[in-house]
Amino acid sequence: MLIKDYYTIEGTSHTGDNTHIFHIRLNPECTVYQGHFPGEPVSPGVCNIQMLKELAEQVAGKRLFMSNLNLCRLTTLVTPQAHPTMSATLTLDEKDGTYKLRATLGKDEEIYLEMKAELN
Amino acid sequence: MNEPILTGEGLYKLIPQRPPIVMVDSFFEADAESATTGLTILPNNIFCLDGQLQEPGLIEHVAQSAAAFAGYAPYTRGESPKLGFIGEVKKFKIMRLPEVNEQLVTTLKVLGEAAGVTLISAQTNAGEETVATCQMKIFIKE
Repeated sequence: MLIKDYYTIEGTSHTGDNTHIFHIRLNPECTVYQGHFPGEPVSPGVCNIQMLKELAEQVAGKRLFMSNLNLCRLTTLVTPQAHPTMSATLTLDEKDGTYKLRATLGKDEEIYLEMKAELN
Repeated sequence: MNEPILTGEGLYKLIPQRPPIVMVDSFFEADAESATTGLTILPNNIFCLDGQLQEPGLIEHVAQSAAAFAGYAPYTRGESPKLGFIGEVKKFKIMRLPEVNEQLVTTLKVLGEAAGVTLISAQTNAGEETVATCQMKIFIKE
């Protein structure tokens, strides 16, 4: 984990061919919140992108380099207090060593973040 | 490159982020539609792993460069920086991960602005080499 103690994985499930679901808990004690922002903790969007990349690495079983973040929409301001638990849903397709990742982060019907990326 | 207008903790006048997640250390210049910022990658940077700045570190550097740009006009009027949030990242292409001790220089251009949302394009260089390009939408919280 790049950002130490940013999150924990509380469970996983696997649906369909390539879809993996991770149940996540954010850690409000993570040091990143000391600076983002002082007295007003907000989960940095890039830390959530990194978390999804690490989950993709776990599915792929190896370290990956994100050469292209084609699109990432951050639709909810996530805070570890208001949004302590969430689900990450990943679809990972590999062809000739390049992985196409589609991932969403959210809870119930609400989407916090969605992204498409190429990794290799 | 001219001497920076602000460096180090001087950037705190432009951005609300504080250690350990400050990802700009130089503000070189700005006009109404463009700005140039910089970051020297220190070994203790929170986004470094195995001597390289990882992907989220590059994205955060561009986002905070945009935040610094948004904070520059209020700063010249003696006002505090506002909180800015990334709304969308598009076509963030990374050619390579920069190494510790390299200096990133990022040039931002405003492509459009409406209702508190600013669309920017950015190019990040390490020396002569372009290491990343992207488009980003930033929301400024009033």
